[in-house]
Amino acid sequence: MPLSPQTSGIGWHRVFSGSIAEIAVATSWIEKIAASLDPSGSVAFAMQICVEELMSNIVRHGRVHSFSKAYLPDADADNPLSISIDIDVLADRIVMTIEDNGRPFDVAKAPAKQVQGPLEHVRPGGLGIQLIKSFGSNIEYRRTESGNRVTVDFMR
Amino acid sequence: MKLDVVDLENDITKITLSGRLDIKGALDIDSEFTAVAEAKKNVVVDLSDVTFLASLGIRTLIVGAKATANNGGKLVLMNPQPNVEAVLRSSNVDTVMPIINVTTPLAAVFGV
Repeated sequence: MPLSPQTSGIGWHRVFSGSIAEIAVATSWIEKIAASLDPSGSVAFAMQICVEELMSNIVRHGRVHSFSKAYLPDADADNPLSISIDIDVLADRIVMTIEDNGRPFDVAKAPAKQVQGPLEHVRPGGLGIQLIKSFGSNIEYRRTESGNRVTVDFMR
Repeated sequence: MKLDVVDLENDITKITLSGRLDIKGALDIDSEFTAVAEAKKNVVVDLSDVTFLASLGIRTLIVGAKATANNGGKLVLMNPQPNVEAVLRSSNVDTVMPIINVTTPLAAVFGV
């Protein structure tokens, strides 16, 4: 990925398979990178939240099979679910780009649901989009030839 | 993700969670957490040692809270770390599950 003129020249890239187990691998990777950039830990936490929720959506909904089967080996052997993450460090922010080859899903336009009481009317689940929009900034989505690309900024 | 259950006085049950309540952590504890909540009335969930909370973890907590409410009780969250509390408050979870600290008298919280 070309870096913008504002970049500090620091960047990371890694590709993950589309499985529940890989989400923990990705958040651990992000945590280590972010900790070196932001000793306070708040950016590291925000980046982990966004990676967790974005990858969770891709793994659970990126293929046609259901969540209950999502951690079984991908049925589509010719085109297994793949998720790439790029981290680019700019002067004032960190830009995270996540690309996948799953079904189209525009996270930027998806509604950000919050809990609205009373408790008996609350339906569990569906809070991930709100967390992404709460902990990340400037969320942009683009449908690519092979899947989806989402960029999220984290202010330093 | 680790889950421990202790019965306290006044028919209050404490569930202590430890680790990351991410998608994997939620899958690890979901069945046991829900079973405890369904069997109890008043539940306090100690989040002191929970270092990360994602939406699937919140889902587990909400399912538990609804189960205790069905039993005529409630579920409260105790002592979350600052980042975890930020997740809870950003989702408005605190409007249906009170967040308390370790010094809050549990008898008063549950009205027992």
